[in-house]
Amino acid sequence: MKFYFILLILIIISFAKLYSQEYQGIVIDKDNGLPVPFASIWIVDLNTGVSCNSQGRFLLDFSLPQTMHIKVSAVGYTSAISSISQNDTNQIVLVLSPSHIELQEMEISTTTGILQNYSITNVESKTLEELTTINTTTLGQSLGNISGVYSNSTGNGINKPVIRGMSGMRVSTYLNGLKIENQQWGGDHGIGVDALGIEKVEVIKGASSLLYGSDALGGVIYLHEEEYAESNMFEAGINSQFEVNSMGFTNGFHMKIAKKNIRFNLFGNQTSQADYQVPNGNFVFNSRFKGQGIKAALGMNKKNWVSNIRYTFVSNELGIPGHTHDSVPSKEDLFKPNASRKKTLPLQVNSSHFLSTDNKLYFNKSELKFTLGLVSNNLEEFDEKVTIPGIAMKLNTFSFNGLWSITSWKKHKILIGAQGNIQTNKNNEKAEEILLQDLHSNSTGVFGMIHSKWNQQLETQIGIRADRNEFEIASPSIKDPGLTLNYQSLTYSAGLSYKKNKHAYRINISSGYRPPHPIESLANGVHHSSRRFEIGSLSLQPEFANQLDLSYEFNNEHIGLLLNPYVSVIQHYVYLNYTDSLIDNYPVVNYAQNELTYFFGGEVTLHYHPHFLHNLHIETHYTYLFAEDGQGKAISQIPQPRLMGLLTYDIESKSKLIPSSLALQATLFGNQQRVIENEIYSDQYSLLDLGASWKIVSAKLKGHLKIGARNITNTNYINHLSELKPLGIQNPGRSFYISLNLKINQKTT
Amino acid sequence: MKKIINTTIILTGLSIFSVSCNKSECHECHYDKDGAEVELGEKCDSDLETLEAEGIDVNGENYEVHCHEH
Repeated sequence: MKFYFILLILIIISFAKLYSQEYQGIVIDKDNGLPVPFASIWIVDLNTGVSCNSQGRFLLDFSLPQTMHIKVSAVGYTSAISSISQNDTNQIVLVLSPSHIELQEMEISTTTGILQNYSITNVESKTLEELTTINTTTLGQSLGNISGVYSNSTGNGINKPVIRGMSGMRVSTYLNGLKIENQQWGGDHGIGVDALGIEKVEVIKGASSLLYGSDALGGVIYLHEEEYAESNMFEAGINSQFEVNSMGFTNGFHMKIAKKNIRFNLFGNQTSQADYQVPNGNFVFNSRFKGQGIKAALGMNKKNWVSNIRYTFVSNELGIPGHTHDSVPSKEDLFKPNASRKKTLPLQVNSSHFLSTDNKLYFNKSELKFTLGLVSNNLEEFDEKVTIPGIAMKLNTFSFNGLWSITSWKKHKILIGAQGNIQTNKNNEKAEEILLQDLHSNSTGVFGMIHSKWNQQLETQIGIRADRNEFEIASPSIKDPGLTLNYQSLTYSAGLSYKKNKHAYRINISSGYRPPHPIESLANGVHHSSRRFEIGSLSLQPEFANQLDLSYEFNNEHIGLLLNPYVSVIQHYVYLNYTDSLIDNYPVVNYAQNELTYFFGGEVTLHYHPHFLHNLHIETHYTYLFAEDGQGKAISQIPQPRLMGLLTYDIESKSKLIPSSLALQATLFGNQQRVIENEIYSDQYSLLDLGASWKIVSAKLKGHLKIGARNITNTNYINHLSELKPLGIQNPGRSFYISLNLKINQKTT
Repeated sequence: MKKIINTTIILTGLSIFSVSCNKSECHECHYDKDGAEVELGEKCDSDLETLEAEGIDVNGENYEVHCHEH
């Protein structure tokens, strides 16, 4: 089998036209035709690039694919993306338009492979730097700054992204093309990766992505790892952050080296946080956590073949707040007068290895991309003993992903792909209990899409996807070890975008499908960190969603406005139903379904850059969601409406003591009165954050120093999506932070 | 260039070492007898594992041992 697989790859490589040429070029100003010095030339396909010299000239003297996308950018100009083919001349002239501000940077979406301006759905793209204008403790908290995205939390350490009111198995998270599989069904199982080596985040909201699986009814989060260094450059850096509230620190390093046709990145970090402090001065017992990670990426290219091998290891030891050794916790058990970072119970130890290889082959009129990956996740939850886990499971997932993009026609681009995974879940015999049985599963999906550009204004896209999922129970501990569950589905997506002058309109209808996860079908045991006895049901039907998503966008030099309403109808929506029963002092919850569930909502984003004050930048967004079942009853854990505003002001000063920028972030959460029985409603509250940043620039050293405070008014609040809300445990009070980030660059030759 | 390669090797080695080294684990242990906690002091590694797995025999009676902060 292995032999045939290697043979297939060799045949594919041999069919690719293997030739390359050297390019010389110049970047010029559109208005006056003069060269633009020191512009950045970025080869999107290789994740590397070069810089122009003082005369605006550049040389691409390394192996390049037959067709490539070049992104060119410079200070004071609007960035541009050009598609270059080897049939073209080897003298490239790139033209940049002067602009004092760039509200929306030109980008090719990683998730769709299409220029974001032309995508038929609104893909939200943010760099990690943008999301941490005010520093955050975890990646999950940073994602909560994106419009339409919230964070479901269990203390400071465990955060799960929530898109349009959905999370867990309804949100797919990808790490550079590799789907993160880490028992994400648990409300207390976090995103599983941290910000180490992450550069950019793309979010597709709702069930509109055929490329990334039909089960992402809530949406897709795509984490894009940092780019390689520029060709023939070496970069090394350190970063450190300290937070007063939880006496927490994060220290990390990175190193990048790039030669002509080979590139290497290495990252490492370590974090340790003590219990966090609430506004009344007490500390939330066991909200402490620590973690560490390493990440490496090796990129190679030879003519029409581009390859990357990536590895990430993340390990976290997370205290679970809101629990005690006693069955009925008291306030004295939940809060302590002092903070500690010593390991205690209950505890969740979650570690994952991510190994993947992605390869891209460039043909005459098409591109073939295939990714192979392995995710090995080990989850242990300790409740009563520090050396004997309550539950312990190892989840191994082998996945493949192939995508063939054909551009043989002038107006049409055809995408054909296949995706799948083989998964095994195995319980550790050392564990006291089994919540989810040992099982094997395999999933396969095939899809086809046509993206058509009819003219400069109108683009359409239509696609269809078929999926098959099979789960087989392998555990000898249950009565029917041979039980097999099979599901099949057909989903679609269709939409159009119309652009005229500064206005863009998009409409998209799509469907999604999610078979019941084995935990929903087969659970029968104590989920220690959630403190409940979960019982699954074999009679659950697959969830099926239909979504209508509309968007209107207006952009000029100073204002960017986005309106994005949507409606989503989900059949057989699965939820947790709390019963009156107790088993071993744990409340019993059943997995149940609603026949129909409706989600209505929208996001509004306004980006304003006043002409009279170029240094001022205002970004604001509003998110609203209303959800109910077929009988008009509320749905649990629906986020509060949120208005978030970020004001930044760049200061031009020669004094090193004066910060280079100031930031003020205000967030208003509206009340959430629509709750289910036994769920607690949430009042409105507002938060204020402040930050200042100093740029560090010298001949070799670059970086920044940041000082700021989150929740500066020490507001006492509990977010509606906090898992600790039923226990009355507040979110953190005022927290000052300081962070330092330094890097050096030098040529390798 | 040699400096850069050496730096790469050292950083790779250090990062692998820092995430893979096994540290000794110790906790204060106790058992409950007649409604009161009887402290056993700090126990580490294999002693800790044995106590948690097997409990402690006192005057012919076996007691479950707990080793964590309250």
